[in-house]
Amino acid sequence: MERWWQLLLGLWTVAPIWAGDKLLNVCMNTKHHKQKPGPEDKLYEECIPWKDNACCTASTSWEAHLDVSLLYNFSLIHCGLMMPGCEKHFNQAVCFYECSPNLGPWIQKMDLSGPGERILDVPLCQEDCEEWWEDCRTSYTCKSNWHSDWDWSRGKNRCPRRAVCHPFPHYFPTPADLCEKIWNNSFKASPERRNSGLCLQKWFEPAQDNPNVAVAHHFASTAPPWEISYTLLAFTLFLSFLS
Amino acid sequence: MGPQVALLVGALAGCLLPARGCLMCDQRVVEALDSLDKEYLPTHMAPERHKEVMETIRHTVRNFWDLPYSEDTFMGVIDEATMETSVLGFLRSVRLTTNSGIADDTFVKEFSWMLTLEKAAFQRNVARFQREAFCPNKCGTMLQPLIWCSNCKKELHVCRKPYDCGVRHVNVHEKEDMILDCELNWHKLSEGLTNYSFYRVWGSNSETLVYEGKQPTLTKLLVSPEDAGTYRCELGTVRSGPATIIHFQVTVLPQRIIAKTMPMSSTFATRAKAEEEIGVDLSPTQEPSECSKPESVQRGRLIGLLIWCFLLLIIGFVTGVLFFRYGMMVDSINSWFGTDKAAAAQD
Repeated sequence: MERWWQLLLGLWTVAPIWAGDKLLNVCMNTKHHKQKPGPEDKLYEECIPWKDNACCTASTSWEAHLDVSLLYNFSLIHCGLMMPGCEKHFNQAVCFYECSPNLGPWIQKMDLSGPGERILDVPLCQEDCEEWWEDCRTSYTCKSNWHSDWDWSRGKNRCPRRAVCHPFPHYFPTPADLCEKIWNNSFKASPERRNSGLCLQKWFEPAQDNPNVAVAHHFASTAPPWEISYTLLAFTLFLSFLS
Repeated sequence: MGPQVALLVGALAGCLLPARGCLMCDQRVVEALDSLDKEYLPTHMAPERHKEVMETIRHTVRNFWDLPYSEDTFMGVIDEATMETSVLGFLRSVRLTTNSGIADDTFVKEFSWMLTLEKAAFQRNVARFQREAFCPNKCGTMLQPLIWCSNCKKELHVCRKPYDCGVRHVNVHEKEDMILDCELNWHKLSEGLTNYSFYRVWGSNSETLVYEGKQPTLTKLLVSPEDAGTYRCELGTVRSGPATIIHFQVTVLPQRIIAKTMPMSSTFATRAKAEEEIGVDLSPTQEPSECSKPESVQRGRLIGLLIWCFLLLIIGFVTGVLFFRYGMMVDSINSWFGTDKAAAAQD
């Protein structure tokens, strides 16, 4: 009987690490992502940093840069043209979302029945949110939550009737508001700074290695894989009753 | 605490209000309005109304760009040319109004009306720009310098259209010259462009660089069948992606042969061609004689001349003979008459 206990205890400690590996170097299950991450030599502009290991194809990387992205028919120009400095951050964010193989710990199922997946509360470094907010101060938008309430009557989103175009700070008073409400809490504004190992960068210099690999590793190993834990607990209790 | 809050509110308000408005980005417009404020109105408007009128005018001009956003009419940006047209039109209208020397209520009415017309003109200019000059490229990437009306900043907008600019099919005869032209009409309007590069494409994954430089055309003289195949031209930018990619599918057709028949016709052909090249305008009557210039003509003329001489000779001879004969005939007739008369006289 003791053997069983030891085995279960061993499993209990191993399980989190084993489950954690499944969260590393993976791609989301969506229409545009690849099945598995791999090298891509023809990525476009802001997506180039992920060339060594990417979840996006060359054509996806190109489409990520369009004013009205073909990926989601979402128009960034709903209040006129964005300043180039602001547009750059959005392109980087879409590239991060489409190309990064390090989002595993934050992938969630969209709904329990369907196959689609999304990310939730990916912790972006403080500098990332701040620079994004700062460079978009002179660009315009008309809503504080971009997730819903758009006028889709003409194929791409337009400002709803009574929504007036104002500079970004009017609808996103702080950098955290921008990061979190742009895509329905896909991102979270982390208080951590870059190189702390506790937050992800939405973009990095192509010459440097992907700094998000280590961060994903950290979050993957500490994440409690609750399904496995509870199963083991139930099994252990069951066995304890038996013996 | 107090002044800091006020500053914050002021800063926020600055962010919220439409800051400059398109026309006000131009220094000449600002100066014209200042001159109106400091020079014209003090002498043409009651002091108590001066400030209010001036503020209304400034507010109206600042709001010229308060137009609905739509990809057909206005996207918050204009180019240098549209700005220039609009500014000059506006200044002209202001000058006309101030030159008339009107004052007080008349001034307010006329100036308001002028501003209404100018705003409509501005709207038209902007719509025309949006339709015709905004991102004129139909493919590839163009870097267009634009002015943002919200903050008067002039920056490069990246106009991204469908990535590939297509395939051109080029047919060239052997031993003639092949010219591949990579230039599109918007290339001269774009900024941030670097070099044209031409590659020879072999199979699916390998290419060799044939030319790189500022020239948009690749010329190959006296092509041979080995030059047929696929070529790719690429126009680079200062950013990472290319501005234009065009593929050329080159087919080398058999050599053109110019037909060689009789010498006359060939000389005719060369002469006619020579005349074409020089551009001499020949009248149709001249041509036949021009065509038959050489010895054959002269020979013909000589023969004709000879024939004529001969004929003349014959005629002369016949005439001479006739005269002679005639003379003889006359004599004989005379003598016959004479004998007759003599016979008659004898009876």
